[in-house]
Amino acid sequence: MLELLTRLGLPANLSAQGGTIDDALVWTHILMVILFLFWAPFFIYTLIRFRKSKNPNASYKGIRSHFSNYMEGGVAVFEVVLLLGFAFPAWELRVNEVPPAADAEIVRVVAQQFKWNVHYPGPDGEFGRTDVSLINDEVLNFIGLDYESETAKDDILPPQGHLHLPVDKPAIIQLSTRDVIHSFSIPVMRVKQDVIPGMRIPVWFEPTQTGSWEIACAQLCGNSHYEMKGYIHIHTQKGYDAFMDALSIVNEIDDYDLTFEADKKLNKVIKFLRAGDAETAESFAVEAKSLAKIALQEKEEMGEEDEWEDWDEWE
Amino acid sequence: MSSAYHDEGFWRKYVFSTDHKWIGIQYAVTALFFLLIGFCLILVMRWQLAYPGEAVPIIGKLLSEEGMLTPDLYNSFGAMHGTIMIFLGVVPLAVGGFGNYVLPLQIGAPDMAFPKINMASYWSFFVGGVVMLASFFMPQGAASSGWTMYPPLSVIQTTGETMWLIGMVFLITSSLLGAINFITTVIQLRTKGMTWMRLPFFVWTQFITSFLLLLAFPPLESAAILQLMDRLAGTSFFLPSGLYVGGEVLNVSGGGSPLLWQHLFWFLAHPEVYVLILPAMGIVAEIITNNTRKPLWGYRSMVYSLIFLGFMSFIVWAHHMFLTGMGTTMAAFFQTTTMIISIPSVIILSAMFISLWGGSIRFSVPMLFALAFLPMFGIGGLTGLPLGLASADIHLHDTYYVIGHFHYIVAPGTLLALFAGIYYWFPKVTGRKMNDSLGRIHFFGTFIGMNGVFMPMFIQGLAGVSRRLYDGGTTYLHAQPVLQWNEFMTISAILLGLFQIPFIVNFFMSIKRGKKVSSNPWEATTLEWAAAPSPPIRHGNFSSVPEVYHSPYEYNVPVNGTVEEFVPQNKVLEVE
Amino acid sequence: MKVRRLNRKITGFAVLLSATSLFAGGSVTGTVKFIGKAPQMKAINRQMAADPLCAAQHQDAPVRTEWLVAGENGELKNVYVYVKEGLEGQEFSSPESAATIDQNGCIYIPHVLGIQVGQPIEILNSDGTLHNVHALPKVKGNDAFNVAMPGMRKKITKKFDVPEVMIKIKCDVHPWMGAYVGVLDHPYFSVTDDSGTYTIEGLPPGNYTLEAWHERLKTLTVTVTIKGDEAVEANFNFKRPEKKKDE
Repeated sequence: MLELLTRLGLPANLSAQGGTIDDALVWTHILMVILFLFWAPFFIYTLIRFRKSKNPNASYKGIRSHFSNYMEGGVAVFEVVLLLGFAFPAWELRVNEVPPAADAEIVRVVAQQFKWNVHYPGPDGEFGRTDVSLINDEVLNFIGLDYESETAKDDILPPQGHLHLPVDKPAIIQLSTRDVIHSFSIPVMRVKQDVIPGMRIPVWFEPTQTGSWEIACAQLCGNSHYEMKGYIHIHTQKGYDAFMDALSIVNEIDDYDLTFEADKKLNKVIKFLRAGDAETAESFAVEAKSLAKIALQEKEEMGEEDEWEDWDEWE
Repeated sequence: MSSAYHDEGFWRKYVFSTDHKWIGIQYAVTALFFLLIGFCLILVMRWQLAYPGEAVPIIGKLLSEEGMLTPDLYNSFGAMHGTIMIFLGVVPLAVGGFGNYVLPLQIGAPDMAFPKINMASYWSFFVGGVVMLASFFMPQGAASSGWTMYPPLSVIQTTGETMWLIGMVFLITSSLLGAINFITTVIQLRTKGMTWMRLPFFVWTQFITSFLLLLAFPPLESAAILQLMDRLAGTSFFLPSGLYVGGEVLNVSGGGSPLLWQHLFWFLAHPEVYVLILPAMGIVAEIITNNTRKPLWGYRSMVYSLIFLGFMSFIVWAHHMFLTGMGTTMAAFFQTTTMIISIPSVIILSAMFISLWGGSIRFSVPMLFALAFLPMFGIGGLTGLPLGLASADIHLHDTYYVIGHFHYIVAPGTLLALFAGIYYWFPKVTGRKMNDSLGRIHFFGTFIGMNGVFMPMFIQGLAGVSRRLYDGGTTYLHAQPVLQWNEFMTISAILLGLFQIPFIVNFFMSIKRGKKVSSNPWEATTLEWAAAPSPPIRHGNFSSVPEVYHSPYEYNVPVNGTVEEFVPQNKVLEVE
Repeated sequence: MKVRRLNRKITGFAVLLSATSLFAGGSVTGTVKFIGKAPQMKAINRQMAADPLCAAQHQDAPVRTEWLVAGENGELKNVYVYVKEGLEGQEFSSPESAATIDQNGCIYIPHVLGIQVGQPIEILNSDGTLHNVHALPKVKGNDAFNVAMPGMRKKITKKFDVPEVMIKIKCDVHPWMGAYVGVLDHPYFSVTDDSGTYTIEGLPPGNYTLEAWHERLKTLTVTVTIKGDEAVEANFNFKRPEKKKDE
């Protein structure tokens, strides 16, 4: 049955927890097929056998047997099994059996019309303070991160819409939105979760394959909803670590010329992940990290601090 | 009896009529008009989905300079398609049209219990419809945040949303007035001998439907007014604080909850699904029993299932909201109720299938539509199953699978039943029959067209293609393997549209030119056929008060060794 | 009273002629500078990875934010200089030719634009990707709009009916994109170029207050007197604003 559904278009499941969802899909469709195989021949046979020309006199009583009661009972039993065997445990797994934070990658995703902002806590494991009054699109502070706060210093913000995760490690995504309702959907990971204003909702999944896929918005969020696309990149653990280190340094330097080479390598990482070659991607991530470190040294040698760093205190 | 009523002037008779038959006709014709508009909207949208960004033929120049449907218009059309089809098309036709015309006749009543409230109901509906249509001409167009109007999006969108909410208040008021009327009529105005278990199944469905409308609509009416205040009066019932919209922090006091709207909305909108489907079941039951020439199988269990269904429909609403961050208890409760509600539906559907067995089936045009309803509704119901299980819903939520599912319920389901009803009761309304050949062409075209449109949606949904995408998911990787279906669906939709032409022609031609028929052309047993063909538009339906002697579907009754072909309810049945 | 009426006639005449470049009128030119060390504008190339079609257009050269663009000696670009006072009671016809603002390389070109009331403004999409043009006027009478422009939609035309300095335009799909449009009921405005200079031509004789507007450095004003068809110079020197006091 799963094969049939896959042939019809169901994308392959590339996550550890998604199997429970596929089970529910498979068994509900099996029930459908059973009922269909029962009723369709009955229906067609009845129409032919009891057409007026063949059967001019109708029977007043019709069927006397109770087979329909058995059938209805059967459906009910099947549904109880679906509920107890598949639906309840799967939901329990999703909502309550969240992997412990220590073993998981914890990332915040902040939705906005029409982009996904990804926010990593950095090495300290704590997210910097965010405040809606600090949001300023022009200076690329899309989530209102308070750069003054101590915990914000090491936070990592990749370009909008790019979520990076290591393979074979559960990821807990804390979802929030700065404007309207969105829905965070990654079909291959069997993940979908509405993002409701005023709430921060966690959802978790565990990628089992390296590569690069897409994040879609599944809830109408405005006129450009259809292009609210994001990307999810699953690295090897080593590649991921190097990539995030490099990204962090490059973000800190924030100078086009100094980080030009490192940036190029970072782009290569994504390119190779997209092509399904995680090993090459990993080596590029490592290269990017060392290039970024060199750039950081150069910057320190220049020793020039940008006075306008705290620009938003100047009015 | 009829002499008690004096003739009224043109305005009172044909415009502000208080006669249930004329109001029924007004409802039906207005609703058919809206169905056509709703269909035209979706045709333009389907063009865009099959050929993204290409100029729309014929009407393109009205849409944009380039002739294409713009994303803003696409969203408006989508929201208005849903609204028009449900609130201005199907419900007014099924309840306002068929209910008004047929129900008093079937219970042998002279009219509705409150004829003036009945008139007010129609005109409230009419005003609501005009407001909805007018919203297209507001600056920046009609409502564009989906027919569900989820805040905050709906609150920050254009003025069309305000019009939508105002229109909705009128439509809901109309439904409430109608519901009160139907309930009172059924309880009070049943003719002599018309006991509860002698009511035609159609009357039962209308009766239960009216309770759903009466109890489910008020929450949405108040919610609509609250959202109107959020838009106009600066309240924030549905808005939390700290939203950042249009380059600045949204200036609201906050403290509201977007989820509150969803709960109030779905508290109506799920029973609304049964409002759409129950009258259709009623129509189909009438036609099947008439055309199989045998009593409805399991009438009693169908009635009890119906009542149970109506009750359960109030406690399943949150299965639309599994993905809003629901915990296990809530999810378990709503999954369980959802599975439970499937059982009475299965019973009713099975009973109708089984009713066919042993019949002498006449494949008349209404029967073709009614028969097609059965498997179509079956598909619609069964595909609701994975959506009702929260875990499977994770993958299917907000995809085309959902669209396919509820369209199978409402379009090949309810709409086919409504067509069946039109063909079935047309001779009663006009005294003439609709053309048979055109009817058959209409049936086969519609049946094939609808399946062509909706079946591939399940495939796209399984692939995970989101609904409400302006380009149908063209740029998404996971959509690539199923994109080619878009063109197929669009062509099917165009064919479906073309096959409505025979119906429209048939409908208008038959009013004047159709074959004249007697008062009971289908040799049916229920009371509406005891009234004159095309009963005159005035209060009082029967020349004398009919009396009912037995259950509604006495076909092929064995009586004293012989068989009575059919025994109308107002005819004494000599039981063996 | 009489003088004024005469004045109006002359102005009407002047506008008519300046359009055909036959009559120079008075003009104001000048340079706008930023005094002090200008901040380095951040490159947004990496951010553009959010939309691969944008990133692809900027593979080899930096593209930067534009909230304070100053030359080597502080020549300030994108300053909107206009006649704020001195034209009261006069009426000017609006040009029928459209002003354009292009979405090219996922930035707005130009970043600051001046138009007249009722003048059509063509918003182009040269990128072939989806842009969303979200205009946020604050003055009553100017319609806010929010229009999605898919790649295939190359041009939309809009206008504003009431003077407003300035109207912000942003793109919700590419949040780094922003532009400002100044709307006036007269044609005497200009925007500084790379060298920080501006010219306002065809001004009839009179006393005027000129204002220079910068998106982050706020405004400076100066008064000028035009006597005939001469060129008056008026320079503006912006400084870094005071540090906000902690509240």
